Amino acid sequence: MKFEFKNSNYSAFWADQKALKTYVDTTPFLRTNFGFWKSQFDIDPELTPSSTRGDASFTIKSYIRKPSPLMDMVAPMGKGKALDREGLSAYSASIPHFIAPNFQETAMERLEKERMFDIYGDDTDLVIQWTRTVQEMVDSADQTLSNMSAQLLSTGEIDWKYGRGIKNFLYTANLPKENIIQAGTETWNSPSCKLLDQMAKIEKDFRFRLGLADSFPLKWQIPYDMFYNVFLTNAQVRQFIVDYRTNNQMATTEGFVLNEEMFRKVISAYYKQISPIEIIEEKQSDVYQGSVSGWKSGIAVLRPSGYAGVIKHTTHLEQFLFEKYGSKSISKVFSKVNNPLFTLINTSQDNGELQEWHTDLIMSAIPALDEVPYHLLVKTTESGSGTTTIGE
Amino acid sequence: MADFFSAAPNGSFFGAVMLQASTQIGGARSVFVDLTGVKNDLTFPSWGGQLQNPFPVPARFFAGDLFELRYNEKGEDPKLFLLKTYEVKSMSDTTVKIYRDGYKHVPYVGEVLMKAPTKIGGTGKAYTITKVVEEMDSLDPVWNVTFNTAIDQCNDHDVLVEAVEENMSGSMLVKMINCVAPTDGDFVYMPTTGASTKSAAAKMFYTPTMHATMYIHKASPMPKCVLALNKSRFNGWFEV
Repeated sequence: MKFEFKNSNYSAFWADQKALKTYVDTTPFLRTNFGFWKSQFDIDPELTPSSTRGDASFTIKSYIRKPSPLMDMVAPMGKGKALDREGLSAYSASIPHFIAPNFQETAMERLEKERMFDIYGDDTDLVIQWTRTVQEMVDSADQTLSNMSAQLLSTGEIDWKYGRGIKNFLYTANLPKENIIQAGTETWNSPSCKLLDQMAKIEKDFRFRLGLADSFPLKWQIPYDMFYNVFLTNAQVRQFIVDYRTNNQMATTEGFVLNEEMFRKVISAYYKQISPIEIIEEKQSDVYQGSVSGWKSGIAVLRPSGYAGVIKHTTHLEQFLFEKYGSKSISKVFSKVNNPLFTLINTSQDNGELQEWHTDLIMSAIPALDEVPYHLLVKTTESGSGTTTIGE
Repeated sequence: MADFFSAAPNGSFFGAVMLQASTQIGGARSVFVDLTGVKNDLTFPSWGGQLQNPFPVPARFFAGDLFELRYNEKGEDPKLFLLKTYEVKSMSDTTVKIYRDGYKHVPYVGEVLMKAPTKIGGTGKAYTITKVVEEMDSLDPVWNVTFNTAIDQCNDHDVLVEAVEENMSGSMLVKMINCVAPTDGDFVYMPTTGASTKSAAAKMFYTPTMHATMYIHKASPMPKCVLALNKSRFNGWFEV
């Protein structure tokens, strides 16, 4: 039986919303390849509305806690002194819009493809080829969110300097000055740095300043490079491991290569003064700069376990306008793909006397940090015990 | 309009506050030529851009206003410039009277203007506005604008445009015309200028459209250097 192209799944993706939705929801070929953001941020269940003035703004409020002091001793009938009331810190920002590099196909390009694939009798190869393009778009979107998430976690700011489109500083979460601190006595990459002691001191001071109990779960976030180049080569860390092994009748050779497993087994298990360490692995590909990373190098983060905030998202004017007043000669099929943040748009339209097809993936979303007072940045390349700034 | 929005973002006051504000919603001119048939006007180009020269005062741009969406040599990295134009009524030394009605761009203190050069992106004496007063000049409403130094001599219906910076031989900010506003737009927020500043003030991002035919007399005033780019061969029409 000869395959009839107009009845194929492939052509239905541009004509039938249900067909498109069902396919992108169920196909095993669409995956999340760059899911760093999903491990750090939850998707806001609420949609942030776009105002008629053009902004989709959100406000994040954080209440600041401080440790309460010991009691005052009184004689009977003596009264106390009132506590001061703490305020709250808030920041507001707006949601930007993004578009992935898109897919276009002219009628003759499609016919050419059809003929090439005709010999196999169905549209499987066409569908797979298109799906791979969509996968690239989903990867673009995932990378974009991951990059922004890593920037926000490691600097408290998001500066969009990638891609071919608009470049701009997006927002600062206004971290309090005392939450950006220096490394301690020595920079962490210094060979004589007492790394574990310095981290323990930073964590203890942080917990004390904010009145966090020892049981309050915090975690350290260390970028991959820092973990391998600084932690695993640090003299104190290595000595701790050598001592542990010696005391447990395990031999260690001089200059042994320390790996993550040994680190976890010994340091994480027996050095209790620091919270668990999460190694941050995220990398993206930028059209101009090649391989980039959102995480600012040299920054370690200490923050509460769990999500650091939510991804704020809003509506797309593109969809709203088309659904309300779209052209009758252009058909657009909208579908969410992989999650509620990514909107896939399949457009078919005339080009001269023939047709032409487009696939676009758009996203209007940005991560928001909702743990601002509890988010500590350590600039590990700057020694001292004071506060500092992230710098450019 | 400024009254309600100029309030601090938060605060508390134990007296009585009485507030009143009033506003008018202006009309809109049908600037686009009424052509019937399958058109391909007002299509959106890639990305749009950050508006590099937003008005720092409550102001408005109008349907049919011209923009330059400036890409780099690979057609990437967009920047957006609005062609702001001001029609001169008369000029005497450093003061210039500019026609004022509801369909004109608003001049503001600190803006650097010049007489429109003969060629788009050309040069001329560009100086800064130090004072703007709304007044009547005989029967015409005008803005009486004072510059810190006299610009090139202008006569009735000459057009002023924005310059890059104050200079004896300053160059026109807009270097090309390629886009048009499909509708009016309001500047409600106080903007930050510059490409990527960390200031908390507002940044405007906008995608103007390609291709349209407008009535010249209904559009914002166009200087000769812009009219020279007209693609239309009909008198009174401007096609971009």
